Amino acid sequence: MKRKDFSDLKIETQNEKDVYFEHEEFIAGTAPFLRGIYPTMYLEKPLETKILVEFSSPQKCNTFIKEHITKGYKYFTFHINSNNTNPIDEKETGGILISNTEDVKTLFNEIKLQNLEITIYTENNTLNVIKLLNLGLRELQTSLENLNFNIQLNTSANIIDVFEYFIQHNIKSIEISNTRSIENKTPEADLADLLFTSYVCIQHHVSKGNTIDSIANKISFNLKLGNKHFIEIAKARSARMLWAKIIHLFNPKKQASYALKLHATIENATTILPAIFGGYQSATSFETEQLVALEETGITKTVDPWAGSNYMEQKTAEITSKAWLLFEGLKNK
Amino acid sequence: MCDFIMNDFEPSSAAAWKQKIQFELQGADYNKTLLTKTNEGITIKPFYHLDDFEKITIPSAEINPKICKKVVISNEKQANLEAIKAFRNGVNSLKFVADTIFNIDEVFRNLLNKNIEFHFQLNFLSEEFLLKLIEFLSNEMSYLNIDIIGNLAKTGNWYKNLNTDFKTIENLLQKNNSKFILSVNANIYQNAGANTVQQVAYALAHVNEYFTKFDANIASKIQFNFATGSNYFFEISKIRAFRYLYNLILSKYNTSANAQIYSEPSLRNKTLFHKITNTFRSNTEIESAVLGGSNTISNEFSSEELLQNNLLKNTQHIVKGTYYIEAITKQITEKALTIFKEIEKSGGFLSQLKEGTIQRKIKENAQKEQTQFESRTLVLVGANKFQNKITSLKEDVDKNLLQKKKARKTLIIPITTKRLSEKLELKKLKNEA
Repeated sequence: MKRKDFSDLKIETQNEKDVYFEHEEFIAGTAPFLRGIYPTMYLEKPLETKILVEFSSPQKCNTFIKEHITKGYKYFTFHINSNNTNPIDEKETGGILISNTEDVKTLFNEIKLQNLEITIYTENNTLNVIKLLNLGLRELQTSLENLNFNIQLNTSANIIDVFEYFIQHNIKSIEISNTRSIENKTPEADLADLLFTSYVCIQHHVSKGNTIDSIANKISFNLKLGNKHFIEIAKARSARMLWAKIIHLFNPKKQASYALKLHATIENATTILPAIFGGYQSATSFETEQLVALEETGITKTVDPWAGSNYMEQKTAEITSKAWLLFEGLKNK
Repeated sequence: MCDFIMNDFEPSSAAAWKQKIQFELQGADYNKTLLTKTNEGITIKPFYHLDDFEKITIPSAEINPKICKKVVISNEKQANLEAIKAFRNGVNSLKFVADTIFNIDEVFRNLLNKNIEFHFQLNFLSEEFLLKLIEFLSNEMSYLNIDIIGNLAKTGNWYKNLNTDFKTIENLLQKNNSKFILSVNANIYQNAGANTVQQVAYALAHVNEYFTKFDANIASKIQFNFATGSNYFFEISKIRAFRYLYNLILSKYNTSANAQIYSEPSLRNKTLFHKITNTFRSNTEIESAVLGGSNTISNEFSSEELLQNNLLKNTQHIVKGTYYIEAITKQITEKALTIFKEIEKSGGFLSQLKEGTIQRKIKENAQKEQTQFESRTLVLVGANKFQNKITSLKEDVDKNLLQKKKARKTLIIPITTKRLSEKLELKKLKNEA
C-alpha cells in the first residue's frame, strides 16, 4: 500500500472541564488551603521523614536512634509502652517499654535532644507517659519545654487533662490523631472526630481568655492512612478546608492559624504516595520506599497534582460537606 | 455543595497564586527555582489551575485491568505447575516466555476454559508452530505478540529475512483474522532510554509500517507492549497520549480502534542491589499503567498481593479533568505527533531504523539521562544516592538483571536495554570480588 500522508493531522484541544466544582478555585498557601498550606509545597518545603522507634528495649532504641542520626535523620516518632500505668487496652500493645525514669535515661543516653524533633505516641495513658518522660528528662538536666517534643493525642483519650499539661509545660505541639480509631470509620466521621477534639481544646483555651492565634498553630493532625488511595487524598484536602472554616469561627488575626499541618502514619508502603499527593508535612514511614517516592517518581514537582480530577474534586466536596454536618452534630450535642 | 466554605473564603486566580509565590520568593528567580524542564522538552509548572485548563479527549475504553504473571518455559512440566499455582492465587493472565518451540499439550494441561488470558513472548518465528498454537487455543483469549519489526529493532536482524518474515505474518493473518497475532513492542524503546514522547512517536511509526503492509483493518487486533518508568504522571499521560494519537492516525485509514495495551515495569531504572527498591518502583509503575488505561499489567518485580490493591479496579476515570495530567497529556501528544510526521515524511520507521536515525535519537536521550544519573540530578535510591541510608544484604541482589551479552553480526544497530545503574554496579561487583 502507498504510504499515507499524515502532514495535515492536528490535535483538537478543549478548554472547558466536563465537571466543575466551586471549591476548585481555592489554591495553596491561602486560606482555606484546599491545595496545601504553602504556595509551592514540596518544591520548597520537602516532606519530613520521621523514623519510627519502637523496639521494646530502650537500650536497643538508643543505639538505633544514634545510627539514624549519623545517617542524617532528625525526626523521630517514639511508640512508648508504659505497661505499668493503667493501660487503656488490655491487650499487649508493643512499643518501647518505659516504666521508670531509668528507662527514660537509657533511651536518651548521650543523644543531643535539642537537635532532634520527637513525636511521642502511646496506647497507654498519655498524661502519665508524658509526666514520666518529663521526670526522666529533668534527671538529664533538661525538660519538655526546652525541647522539640510533639505529643500525639488520640481522639478517644482524655483530652482536656493532657491539653492542660501541654499548655502548662509549653510543649511544642500537639498532634490530634486517629491512629487508634480509624477502623470501620468513614472518612467524614473520622474528620468530624478529629475536628471536634481540636475544637474542644481550642474552646477550652479561648474560654480562659487566650487568643486563638496563641493555640491554633500548635495543633496539627496525625492521620493513619487507609488503603483507599484517592479517598485519602480527598480527605486531606477536606481536612484543611474544614480546619480553616472552624478556626474562622474564632476570628484569628494571623493567616497561619488557618493552616492545618498534617502528619501521616504509614503502615503499608503503598500509602506513601497518597500522603504525598495529599500535601502532608511529614510521614512516619518506611525509609527506603519513602525515598524512592520522593526522589524518583517526580510527584513533588507540582503542587496538589490530582487537583481538577472530576472524581477527586467530587469526593473532596462530599467528604467536606458530610464531615461538617457530623461536626456540627457533635458540637450541638 | 461546599457553600459553607465558599461563604467564608475567596477563590483565587492562577495569576494571584503566581503573584503570591513571587512575593514569597523574595527576589529569587521563579523560573530557575520552581520550573522543572524534562528531557521531553516539557516544562512542569509549580502549579496547574483551572484558569489554564486544557485537554484533549481520549478515546475511553471500559477497562478492568488484568494482572499478568510471566512464566518462562524451559521445562514444560515446571512451567505448567507454575502457571497453575499462579491461577490458584488469583492470577487471570499469564505470559509464557520461550526461546524455542515447546510441547503445547503439556504447558496448557488443566489451564484451558478457565477464563485466563494467555500472552506469549516467543523468541523465534515458526509458522508451523504458531498455527498449531493458534489452533490449540482457538477458544481462549490469546495474544501471540509476534513483532518482526520489534525483533529487528531489538536484535538487529530479521528472524530470517525481510520477505520471509513478512510472508509468515501475512499467512498467519490470512488464516486467523480475528486473533491477536501481532504486537508492537514499544517496551524496547523505553528500556533503551527513549523518553515518553519518543516512545509514543516510535510506537505509532512502528505500527504504521504494519498498516502500510497489511492495511489498518488489523488495528483492533494488535497488542501494544509498553514499559512503564517511574515518572508517575508522565507515564499515565504517555498511555493516554498514545490512545489519542492511535485513533488520530487511524482516521487517515477511515477507521478507528481501541488500542490493546500491555504494560510492564521498565528495566531502565531497576537496580541490581536492594530488591525492595525495585519492588516499590514497580508498584508505582503499575499504578501509573493502570491509571493511564492499560488493559493488562505485568507484575514483574512486584508481588501477587497487588491483586488485592483496590487501586487496580476501574480507576482510569479518576484521571479525567486532572489539570496536570490533562496538560502533560496534551503536550506529549503534540510533540509525539511532530516526531511521527517527521519519520513518515522521511520514508517511515523501517527506513529510519536501517539508517540508524531512531537508534541515534534514543542514544541521545539515554546519554542525557546517564549524565543526569552521574551528576545525581536523576536519582536511583541506593545506587547513586542515599547508599548510606539503605542497608544492603549480600543476598539482596537481583541476578536476573545481569545481562548476558553475545556479540554477533547484525544487519542494523540493535536497540538494547540499558540500565542506568549498570556501569556503576558492575564496577562495585568487580571491587567486591
